[in-house]
Amino acid sequence: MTNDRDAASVSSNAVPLPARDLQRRRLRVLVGYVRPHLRECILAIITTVLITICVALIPFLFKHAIDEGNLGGRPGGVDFDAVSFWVAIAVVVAFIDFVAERLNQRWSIWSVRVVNDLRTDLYAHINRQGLDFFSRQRTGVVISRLTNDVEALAQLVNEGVFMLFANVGLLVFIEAFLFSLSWELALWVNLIFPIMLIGTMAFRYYSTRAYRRTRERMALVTAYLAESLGGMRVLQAFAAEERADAEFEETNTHYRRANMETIWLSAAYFPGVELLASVGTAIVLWQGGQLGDVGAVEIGVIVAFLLYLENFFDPIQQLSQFYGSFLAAMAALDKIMGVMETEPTIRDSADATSLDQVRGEVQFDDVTFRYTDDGPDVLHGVSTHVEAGQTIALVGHTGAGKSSFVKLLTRFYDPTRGSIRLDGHDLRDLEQHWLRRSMGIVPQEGFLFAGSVRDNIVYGAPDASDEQVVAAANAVGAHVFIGELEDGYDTQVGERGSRLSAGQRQLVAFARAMLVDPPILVLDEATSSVDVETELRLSDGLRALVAGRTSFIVAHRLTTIRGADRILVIDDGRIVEAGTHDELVNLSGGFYAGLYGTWTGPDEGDASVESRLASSID
Amino acid sequence: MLTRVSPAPVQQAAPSDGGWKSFRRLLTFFAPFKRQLAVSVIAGVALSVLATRIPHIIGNAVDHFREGQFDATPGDAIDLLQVAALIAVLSASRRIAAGVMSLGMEQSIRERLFSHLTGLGFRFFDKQQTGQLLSRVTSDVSQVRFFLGYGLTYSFMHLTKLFVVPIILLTIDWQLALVVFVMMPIIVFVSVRYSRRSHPVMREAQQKLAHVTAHGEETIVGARVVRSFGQEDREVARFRSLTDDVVEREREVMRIQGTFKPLYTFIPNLTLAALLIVGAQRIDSGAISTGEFVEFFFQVLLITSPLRIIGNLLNRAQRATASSDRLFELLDADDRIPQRDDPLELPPRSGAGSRLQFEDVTFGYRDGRPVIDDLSLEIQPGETIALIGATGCGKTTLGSLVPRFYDPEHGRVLLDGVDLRDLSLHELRRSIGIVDQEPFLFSATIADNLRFGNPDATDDDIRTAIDAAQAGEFVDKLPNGVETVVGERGLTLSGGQRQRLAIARALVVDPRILILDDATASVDSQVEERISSALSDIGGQRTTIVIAHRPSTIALADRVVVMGQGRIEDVGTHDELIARNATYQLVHEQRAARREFLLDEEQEQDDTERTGGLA
Repeated sequence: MTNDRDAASVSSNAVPLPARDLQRRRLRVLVGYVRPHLRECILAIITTVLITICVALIPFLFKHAIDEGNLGGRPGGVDFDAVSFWVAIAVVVAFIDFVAERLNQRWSIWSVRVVNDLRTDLYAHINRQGLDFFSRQRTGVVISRLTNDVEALAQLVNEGVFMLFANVGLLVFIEAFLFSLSWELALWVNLIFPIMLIGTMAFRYYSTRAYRRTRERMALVTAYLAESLGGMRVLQAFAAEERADAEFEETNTHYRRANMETIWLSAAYFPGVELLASVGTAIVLWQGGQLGDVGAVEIGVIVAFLLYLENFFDPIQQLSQFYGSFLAAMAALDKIMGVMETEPTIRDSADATSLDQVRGEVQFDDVTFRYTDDGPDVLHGVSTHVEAGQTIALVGHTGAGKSSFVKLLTRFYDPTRGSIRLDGHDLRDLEQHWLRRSMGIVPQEGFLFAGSVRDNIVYGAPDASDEQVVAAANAVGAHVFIGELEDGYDTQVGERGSRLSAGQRQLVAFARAMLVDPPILVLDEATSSVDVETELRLSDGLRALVAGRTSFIVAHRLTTIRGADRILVIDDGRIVEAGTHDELVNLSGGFYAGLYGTWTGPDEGDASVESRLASSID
Repeated sequence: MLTRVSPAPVQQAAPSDGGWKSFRRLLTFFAPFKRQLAVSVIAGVALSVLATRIPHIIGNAVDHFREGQFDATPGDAIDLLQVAALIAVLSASRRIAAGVMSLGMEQSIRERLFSHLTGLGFRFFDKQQTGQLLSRVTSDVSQVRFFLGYGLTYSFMHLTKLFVVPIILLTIDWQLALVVFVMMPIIVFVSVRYSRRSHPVMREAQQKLAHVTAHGEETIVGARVVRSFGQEDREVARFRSLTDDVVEREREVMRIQGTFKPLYTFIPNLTLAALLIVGAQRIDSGAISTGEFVEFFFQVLLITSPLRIIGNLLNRAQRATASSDRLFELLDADDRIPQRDDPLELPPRSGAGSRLQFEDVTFGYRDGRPVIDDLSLEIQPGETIALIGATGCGKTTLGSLVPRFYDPEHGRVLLDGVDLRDLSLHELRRSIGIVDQEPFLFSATIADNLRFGNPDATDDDIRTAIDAAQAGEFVDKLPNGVETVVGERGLTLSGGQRQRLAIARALVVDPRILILDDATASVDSQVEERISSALSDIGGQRTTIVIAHRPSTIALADRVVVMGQGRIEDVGTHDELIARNATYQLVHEQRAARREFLLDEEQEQDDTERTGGLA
């Protein structure tokens, strides 16, 4: 069981700690979380010290009971009063210890709150970050800040600090009592102390390394397993079962070997510690006898020494454990503070406003943009004007800049140069929160949250009534399929909507945007292929959704593009063509006309496609 | 406020019925480690018995001291050292034996589970969640390992002490022993109660914490949606309420701990105090010597910690039993694809390609709901067949029957005239290449991924496959080319890129039958055309089934099969069908009208940055 704790406490020591003053500043932040619970914290310190004293005192009291009660068999018989007196004191001390331990738990109860506050603040801070934050950090890393790192810190806050107090205290008190009982015997006993210290440090050093290797190997086992389960279809399709078994065995063998090292170390250390304690006992018996011979110690002293030896090594072992968890907690604090100190790149200006009424007129004015300072420009001097209520289709190759265009419009990023205006107001002068709420944004694959269909539809308008939900679903044509689901609107969609098909997810995402009824709509059309009926439903839903609002659609489907009021063809970060389908398709040598040409395919004439289009749209 | 149900975490320890039965079965895992088990139990018992010698030696020394025989105490010290050295040796051997045993058991259980899993058919995986399977093979296995490797031998050691020490106490002085016998059940009671009360709450706290993590993960992955709808504050509020749940449970744990734990020191302290009082009388009356009293004292200290952890050990035993229930459930899962002991040989590959026949095939995932309904189809050697039809009409299912991911309920499937069930599964699957719409690549280099079905493929084979699948245009741009690591822990590829690599992977196997299940859906139409022509160049001797939506893809097939409701509606060439089949016409026209304009999945710049190119 000790092993488990060790394994947990030594994680990520490898991260170099930052400069001392930075460390101090960060610790101060941590202290800030403790401050509201200062009373409990002080109580915890007092009780910790009290417990320590009690623990150290009891063998001392027993010594007095034995010696002054004359249990050592000197002539004169047992002095029952003295025994009762000292035992009574010992009982009182034990009771004080009992009460103190109970009070001490109060802090643990509060410390949970402290850690929780920190976790929630961290989460809130992450939520203030713009999307650029998430493109810089892997999701798993961000989540591990919220979980593993907070846990590591929790250990320190919860018991680590008090363990430090308690063990240093215990060490000091025990030594003090030992020396006051018999300084000669104390000196002899302390001979084993340096051996214990060096042994423990060596064990700590090697076992930290061994445990790290074990964890790494275990992670490989888990990763192999996860991947094989995820790719079981491929694995079986290629008849690679035997090879996979062999590889898994190898991965497991590596793990077993790494873990075996920790067992060798424990097999050397823990019996060694016990042996050393027995050496201490032997020293007490042997030297106690020598000192008893000259009348320097009595039996009670021997008994007290032996009792002290029972717990003599605990403080050292626990302190070395504390050191490990302290390093881990500091590394965690460092990482957490790294996040906390990251300011969102896009912030509202001091005089940011919101508009009472949005018409939906959008102006891009010579917008140039790059994601990072040293990165390439992804948009070059883009200018365009969009009338209120227009539907705009953005068309272009992968990486041409359509997504960047949309991200600037929704102000997930700010332009590097130039400006974007909504109804004549620069986006940077508007409140972000308000701005986003004025825009219905439908991401490409219709990301849904775990929860019911209804939960997902009301996501942007939590107070919507059932009628409004049904109306929104109906408007985009989602009501029919939702009605066919097991539990209708209460059907659980699963993690990221996995229990719905891609088309169904899109429709729910449409309904979600519809319910908010935003003046501006920004939509990234899905590329995944769906069957014909679903596609028909999607394009009908889309038509309902864009009606009456300024809409920007990153379009992939011809019906969508043809239905737009204006098409912006983007290539290499520039708007190369703009106009209606009819205008652009007749632009000889034009980009759009070229794309359209390849699209219609080699074996079908333009006319036949046109006629079929007409018939299928009507 | 909206209550969102987070995905339920894996149940940690369901109460197990028939606990004893599965416990006994659990013990069978010891079988290969009898020697280590013997060493660990014998050494454990021996050292526990030997440990009682130390208080005895101390008692002797105290009596020597009391009687003034000071020259005898060095001898006592040496006796003690001898016993201690023996204990140390035993303890080290016990630890090593237990370590070898428990790690070996862990490995063998895990490997057995794994190879069992890889042998299971898809009917099994359809019902399972990967996360749960994963947690069985990792956390349930270590739960069992800890209990079998350590818990059980610890129990032996503690039980030995709890058996031997009271006898010694009785032989020293029965009146003093009575004091201890009063204390023992109280501590056991406290320990068991503590464990009973705190463990369920602790598990609950863990589950609530899993909800917090799930919520955090979801809203971080869906950060864009959260921001799009301006719901940051509400998400923070929800997060807080979820963590409040955790806090409530954790504080309950602390409260329980605060009630019981102080008793762990208080009761033994009281006992020692009572021993002093009673002991003083026994010494005074001459019933025992001071040395015997001191021995008694230290014997009692030997059993306090075994008494304290009885509750914990019981709890571990329960959890290990629950874990083993789940493991056995998995090991007993018998959804294997049946195999003949004496499989027939696959006829030698002919130059023309392989013939594939479906004869009156009926198949359904659930009873009474056939997905494939009495379907017959003969695909000629070297032919390319396109399967079309609405979602859910059974195209993919039909494809899955060929590599025997599932077996038909009625009818049979024949490859070159042999029933698939008469072939060795291994050989069958070796001769079939299947590419899914969302293909899975392993976290390995591109070259390793391509060699997955054929580890002996040469670099030239790899190159040929890459070129045919039109993957060269992006693979060659990578700084490490085919040595680039892809997959979850490597470079993130777009859907179209993954599809192309998956096609190449299937080509490396050089299968008799190639099944492309919407395998080019995310690939640009021009690229797709090039893939198709490359396939037909090298595909003279191969039979190909293409499941597709795009007219251009369908047009390349020799024959088109129009499916509906698990049956074949019509079979014919493109020209035949366009002339006579209404469904085909409609599909063709609507698909043409709605065909994706500009394909290949968006790969946004910041996404590429996020993954940082190579991991």
